Amino acid sequence: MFNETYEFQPWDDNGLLLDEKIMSETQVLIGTNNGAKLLDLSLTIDDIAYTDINEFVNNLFAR
Amino acid sequence: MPKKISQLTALAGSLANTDLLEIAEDAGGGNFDSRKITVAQLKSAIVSNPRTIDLVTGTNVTGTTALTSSASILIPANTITVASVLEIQSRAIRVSGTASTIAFSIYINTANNLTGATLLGSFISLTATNFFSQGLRSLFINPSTNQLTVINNGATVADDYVNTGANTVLTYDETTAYYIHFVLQLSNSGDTGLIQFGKATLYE
Repeated sequence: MFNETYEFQPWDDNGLLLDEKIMSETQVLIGTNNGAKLLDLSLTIDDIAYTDINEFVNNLFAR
Repeated sequence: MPKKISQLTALAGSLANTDLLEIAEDAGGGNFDSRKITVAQLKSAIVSNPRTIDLVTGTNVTGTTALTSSASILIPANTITVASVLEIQSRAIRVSGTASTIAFSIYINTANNLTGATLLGSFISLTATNFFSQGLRSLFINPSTNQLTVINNGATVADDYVNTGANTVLTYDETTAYYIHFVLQLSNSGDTGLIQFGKATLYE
């Protein structure tokens, strides 16, 4: 799944265009050009692990 | 002395995949060669349309407020070879607890987990007093374009019987195996939810 390249792209969540939606303390939906992807804290960003989902999201969009 | 079929001992149990049958293979020119085939070969030669890919029951979801896959269905690689409709239907029930809402959705992933899964759609949530929610999505999958089309995946609706609205187009590589995940999310971790059934039926 992550051997693909995706671009951030909002999705229509019941009429609201969202870039991301925090789903739980460990999960976030991220809008891409291939649908909304459910990411979680088992993933790393540039080999850095996170324990806070908000920090994870902020660093994801900062890349 | 050859026996008539009616003189043979009847099969006592069910047919096994390894049981053998005799056939006459067309050799052309009005000739036939005797061959053996297994019951498994016979089954694979019988193609029904539509056909059930799988019917599953889930496991209880409790003790967490994270999105959790209660059940999943494997769509093996190369299952879809022509433009087809994959109909996904599922029912969520509240097993116990009436503290809060249970959200109900479906995802698709190349792995049998939710990490990196793509949202296919959200069904109607079970409010604290609801014990039952059922939903349906019809996925149009076209192998020639590697595309899966579904009603707007951000819409929270029970089914896709509409004549207006947006759709969502996702990449679907038919040479890859996919899992359809039936997902519950408890608003209160003390409640217990369950995917009573999830099924995938292929029309081609």
